[in-house]
Amino acid sequence: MSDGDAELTDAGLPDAEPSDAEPSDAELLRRHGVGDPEAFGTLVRRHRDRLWSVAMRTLGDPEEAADAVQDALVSALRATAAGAGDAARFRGQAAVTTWLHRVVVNACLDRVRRRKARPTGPLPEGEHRVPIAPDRYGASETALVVRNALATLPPEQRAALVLVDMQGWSVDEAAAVLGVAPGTVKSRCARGRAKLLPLVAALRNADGDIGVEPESARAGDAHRQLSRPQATGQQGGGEAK
Amino acid sequence: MTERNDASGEHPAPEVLADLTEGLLSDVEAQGVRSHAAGCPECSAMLDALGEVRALLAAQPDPGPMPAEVAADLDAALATAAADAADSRAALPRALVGTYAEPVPVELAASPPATDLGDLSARRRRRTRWVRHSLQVAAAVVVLGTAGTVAVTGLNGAGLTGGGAESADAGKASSSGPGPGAGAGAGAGGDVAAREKSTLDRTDVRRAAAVPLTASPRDYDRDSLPEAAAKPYRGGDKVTTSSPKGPLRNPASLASCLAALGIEDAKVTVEFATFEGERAAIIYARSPGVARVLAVRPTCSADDPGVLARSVVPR
Repeated sequence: MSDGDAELTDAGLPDAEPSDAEPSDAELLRRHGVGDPEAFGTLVRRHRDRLWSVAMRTLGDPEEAADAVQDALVSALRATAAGAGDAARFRGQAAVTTWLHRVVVNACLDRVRRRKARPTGPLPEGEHRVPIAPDRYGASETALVVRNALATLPPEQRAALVLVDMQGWSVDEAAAVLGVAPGTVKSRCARGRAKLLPLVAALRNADGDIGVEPESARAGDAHRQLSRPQATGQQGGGEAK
Repeated sequence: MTERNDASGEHPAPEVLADLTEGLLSDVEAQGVRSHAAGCPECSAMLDALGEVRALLAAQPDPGPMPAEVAADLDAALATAAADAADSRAALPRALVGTYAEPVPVELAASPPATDLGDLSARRRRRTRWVRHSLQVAAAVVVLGTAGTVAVTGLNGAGLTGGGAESADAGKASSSGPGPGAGAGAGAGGDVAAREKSTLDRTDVRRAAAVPLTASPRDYDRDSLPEAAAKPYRGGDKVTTSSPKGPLRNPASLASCLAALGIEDAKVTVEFATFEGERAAIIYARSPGVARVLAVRPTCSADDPGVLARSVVPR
């Protein structure tokens, strides 16, 4: 995509202030606000791959992710269009990125909640192992197991983990996207990870390395077996921060 | 979480260990859990496993760039919406810009949540078609009722001018006193346009009737409005029928005002206050990603929205 110039070296922000040739995100949004029909599309093209990642990871389904992203961005376009009011105010580049993510994440969460409200929605608690068909997915089996496990989490915890652990956002950035306090993000991440503990055990179990029952991961007598260094090929040491 | 943390006692729950890694425990608690874990291989292992969960999530392959067809679809939808917005602005006389109403997305209408997700993309396509259609007929109001019926009212022809004149009168009538349901624009000229107009109003009025109204002694100005948008004032008194705050208390008038302001798909609250010393209705409209706040004259109607100031902030 037209994402960022090569000369951008700002470590903190993937989309640091572009050069003179490229209008900044905030500038594009301003142009959109005064009726430039191209500006919003250009802005979205810069960010759409990451927005897609977030939507896919939150919803787990391409069709739904596509709908969520499109609905969110069309609403955002209209709400900031000329005639809708003054151009929205953004305090710089990072704020636009945050806002776009927020709009998309909210649309995804709405979908998750709506799906949950349906009688056929996924079961709550205790349904950590959604049936899977390993041979159909081959190499991506682990990915599928992870996706299914994520799908069992409350939407708020899932969104926090998607942003922080999967997309690599800082807690503060994720808090801005989710519109909650940083402490809340930490708490959601912590609770979400705790709920995913059986997942680690299940994956080890699937590898046949250790005979850990996924359900027993929370029980004291399973702790010892979990202490064996990673057996899934996934690198440990994620605690480093 | 209820388990004890002392080294000799039971193991802390996984949630407690997870909280420890995020620094969410009090110093005392953290100390207790840490000293327990230091001497407890099981809890150390649990802490390792929590780290592994993080690593596992971080190691998941990125879903990759947005697929080309999804990107193309998105581009098209945005281009259509942008053209729609620009077109409505250019096609209408300046004073009427605010009265252009966009098609109401199905999921934002006051209908029960969607029950068939498989139908969503079909609805999206349909909606896109409506957008294009309304583009072709330049200025048409398309309102989707809860039952899925569609009412179309011409805005540029008799529908608008006639209705506008009507509501000007109605606006005056109701501003001179709390007129009974004389809501601006509700009783139009007795022709087709009038019938369509009333169809349009029923949904809007029902929605307007549900808008929370408050009254406050606050005075806003251009500087304080953006703050208010970000954080609506919640300390106002509930408005009752006995508090004479003007015609906007009437759902029909409010519906007419909101339509004039182009507020369709938002969560709306109204605070009767003052703006730079003048009596005004502060209208908060929160929609996905954006919070709008407008200060309008208490006589706000389809004919004359009477916007004193407005502000939009991201949320």
